[in-house]
Amino acid sequence: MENEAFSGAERAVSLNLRETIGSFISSAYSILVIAIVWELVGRSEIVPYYFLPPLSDVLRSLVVHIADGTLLYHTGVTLFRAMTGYVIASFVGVSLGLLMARFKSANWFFEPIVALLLPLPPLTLVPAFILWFGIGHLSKIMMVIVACVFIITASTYHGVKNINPYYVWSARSMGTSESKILRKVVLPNALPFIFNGLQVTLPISLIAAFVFEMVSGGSGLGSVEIYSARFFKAPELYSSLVLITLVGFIFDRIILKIRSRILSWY
Amino acid sequence: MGRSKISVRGLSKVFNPLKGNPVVALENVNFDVEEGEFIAIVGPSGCGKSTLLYMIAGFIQPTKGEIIVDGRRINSPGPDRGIVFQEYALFPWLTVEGNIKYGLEEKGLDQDEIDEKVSKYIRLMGLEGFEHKYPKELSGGMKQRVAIARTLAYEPEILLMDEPFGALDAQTRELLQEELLRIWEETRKTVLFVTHSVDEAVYLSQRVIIMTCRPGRVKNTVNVRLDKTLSREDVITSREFVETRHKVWVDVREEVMKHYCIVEG
Ligand SMILES: Nc1ncnc2c1ncn2[C@@H]1O[C@H](COP(=O)(O)OP(=O)(O)OP(=O)(O)O)[C@@H](O)[C@H]1O
Ligand SMILES: [Mg+2]
Repeated sequence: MENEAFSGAERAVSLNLRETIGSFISSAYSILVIAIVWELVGRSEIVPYYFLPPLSDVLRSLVVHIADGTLLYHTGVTLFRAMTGYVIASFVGVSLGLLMARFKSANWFFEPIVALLLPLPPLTLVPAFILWFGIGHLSKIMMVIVACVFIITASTYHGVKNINPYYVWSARSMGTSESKILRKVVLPNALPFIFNGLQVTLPISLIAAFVFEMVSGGSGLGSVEIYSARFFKAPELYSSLVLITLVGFIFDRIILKIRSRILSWY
Repeated sequence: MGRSKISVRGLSKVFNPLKGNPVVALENVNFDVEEGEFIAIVGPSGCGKSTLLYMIAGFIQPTKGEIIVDGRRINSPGPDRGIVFQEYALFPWLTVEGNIKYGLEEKGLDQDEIDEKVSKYIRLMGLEGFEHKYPKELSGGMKQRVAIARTLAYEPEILLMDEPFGALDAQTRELLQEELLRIWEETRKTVLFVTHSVDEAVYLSQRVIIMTCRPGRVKNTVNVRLDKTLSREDVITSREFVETRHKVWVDVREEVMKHYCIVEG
């Protein structure tokens, strides 16, 4: 009996594993196909070299520039800007969302501001931010914050507002004081919504930093790309793209992992 | 005879929605409940049964009248009155065990006591093996067991139950009815049990309060004298059961018909 249950569980695990590996291979297949087509098109002379160099040249350039440290440096710069902005935006966004959901006066004051700024394409602010904050780290970090913070605010606000009143009533009837309702009921209930905001804004933080770097130059992966384009160094251009794609992918996996860990109940 | 455990006096509730006209949910409701009594409340949909329980629980305030529990006028929720909602209202972020623990931790019991009570009520409601599951992983019947266990665990003196078995299949429902009766025999808590089912009301309670259609008032009160020690089969085939059920049914039907006349007219 016990053995049977065990082998059942084992089967489930191995099935699960096979599924995961299977889906990875099938998704890797499509990437492999794209890579091969890329290589072939690049090698044939249908398109000019600076338009699309063969993938192997891109990878070679990638290896060379990683080895000499330049690409790692620029990746580090972009990551630093995106992550600093993202972390600040997360704290500010969640706090602001909580505040607006709990206090009428905070909502009265911030709601119009958020309503106005949420749909604004943040990158339209690039020239103004260069004027205000210069072309160093600060302007990019500020841009990342502006691009992310209101989305996180809105998702937190909805998470708090969306509470099932029965949860609050249950807690109160079991003796939870008003001051503890926030921590014991409202926050856990809002967590999936907050996570949605954090998940959506993670790639946005990378986009904001990257695009700002493209416009302002200086350092970071975005500036590498724009300089490479300016000097027709196609392999370098594409290697910065490959890197930012990779970084985005890894981040997405990480936050998905954290989500499934913390929100297993959802 | 001592003073009543719960005394509902001249209770009225008017809702003033943001849009639309005021809704008179309850109008001048009066009744008393003795300590240890099992009361069932039946009435047409929308007659204010949930509203009545929520006011006794202290979640919402009466427009007029008052509710006295243990001689004190109530105006806020408290762990002396436990509620099981029409929908389960378990905390989805806590496991079965976490949900049952919640009220005990709020009560400030020490860990040993908490563990002991949790395992007692897990056993009592047949939840062994589900301790570490989350509500989303449970069937409706299981969720309702957890909801009842959660409320029983912190041992409120009064149980307010709002159609707790309404969403269950007939078999699970009968099983849980018997479980509830057994627990009530054992603990003699004061129970207010709202239901749509006349059979359920008569089978479980000592007294059935029948409410009129909206605005809800007490239409009639029917005493139930059944030998609760008998098996279910013997109870529901007894003359007393059949006659009482008929009495209640006639009253309820009258109100439900009125309700439809109002809706159609
Ligand atoms: N917050 C509210 N605002 C406005 N009207 C309300 C509110 N809560 C309840 N009502 C109205 O009061 C009346 C009584 O509602 P209640 O939920 O107490 O009925 P009920 O007897 O429990 O019905 P059911 O048997 O369907 O559960 C209904 O007409 C309902 O629409
Ligand atoms: Mg109801």
